[in-house]
Amino acid sequence: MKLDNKTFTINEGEKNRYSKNKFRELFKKKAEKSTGSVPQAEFINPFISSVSNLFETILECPVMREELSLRMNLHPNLDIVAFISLSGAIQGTVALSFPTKTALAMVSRVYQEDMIIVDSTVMDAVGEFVNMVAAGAQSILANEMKQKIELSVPTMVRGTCFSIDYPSQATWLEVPFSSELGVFLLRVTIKRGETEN
Amino acid sequence: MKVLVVDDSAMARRMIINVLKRAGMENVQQANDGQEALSYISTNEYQLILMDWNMPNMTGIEAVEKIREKDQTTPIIMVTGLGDEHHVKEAIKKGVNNFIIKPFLPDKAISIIKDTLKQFQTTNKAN
Repeated sequence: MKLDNKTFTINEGEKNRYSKNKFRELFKKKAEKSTGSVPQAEFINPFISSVSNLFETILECPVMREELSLRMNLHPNLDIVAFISLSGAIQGTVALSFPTKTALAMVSRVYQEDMIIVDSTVMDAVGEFVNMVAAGAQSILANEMKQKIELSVPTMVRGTCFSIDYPSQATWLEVPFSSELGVFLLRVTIKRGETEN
Repeated sequence: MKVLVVDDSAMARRMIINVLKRAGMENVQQANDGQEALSYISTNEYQLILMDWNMPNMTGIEAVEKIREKDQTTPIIMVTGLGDEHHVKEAIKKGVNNFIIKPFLPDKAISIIKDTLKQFQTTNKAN
């Protein structure tokens, strides 16, 4: 991944302690130490396109992409998270995280009725959203790499009291999105896998 | 016409059923996974099967393989996000007749369904 100043989220404390270049250097070292390499930007773009495609096709709602950042762990800072694992030519996890308000607005639009509580219908729909995003990206990446990539079935989590320990010490690429239905986050941790053709 | 829609997601099934209704197909049964689909198929006759790929218990492609051991004539459309070359080739080899790639626009999906049925009618007449 080409590193430039725009690709990092720098908190206030870090801003005070380090210059951007110094911070960037430290972050790169941390990422390389934990995963052997910094995640490659080419892997995130298909997921971003897939999110836009899902919103435009199913929800008839354009999305605005915010600045990409690198994170050393997956903070469970939003109410609902849906995960899918990828294996084969690439290995990793894709997660979509939603505040309750966004999830309800999205599912209300699909069902064309007002959803007011997060029930099994809403959780099922959120799982299907991440499934469509992962599958869309999988198709692009598998065709580009001419190798097979498999997906797991989605896992949905509610609440903010959890931690993700897989893949160990992974570096997550995080892309916030905004739309008329609300904000949400795309998070991907990915590396090239070992496959057979 | 009796149609079987197989998908583990209730939302995905609903989206497909809406498409089928728009195409004038009201007689639709739903299954949650490949296993349930096989159980329905053993006691019902369908003129079209719409099958998701990625499902728990039994995947769509495993179900297609089982269906094709006994039935070569019912058209099967895979409704999935997995549209890469490897998956498409594998599906065709195992007996899938067409693909609807998720997320889909309803008009596009209707057109694929109609084309598949037309192709089957033509083939059946020729045989």
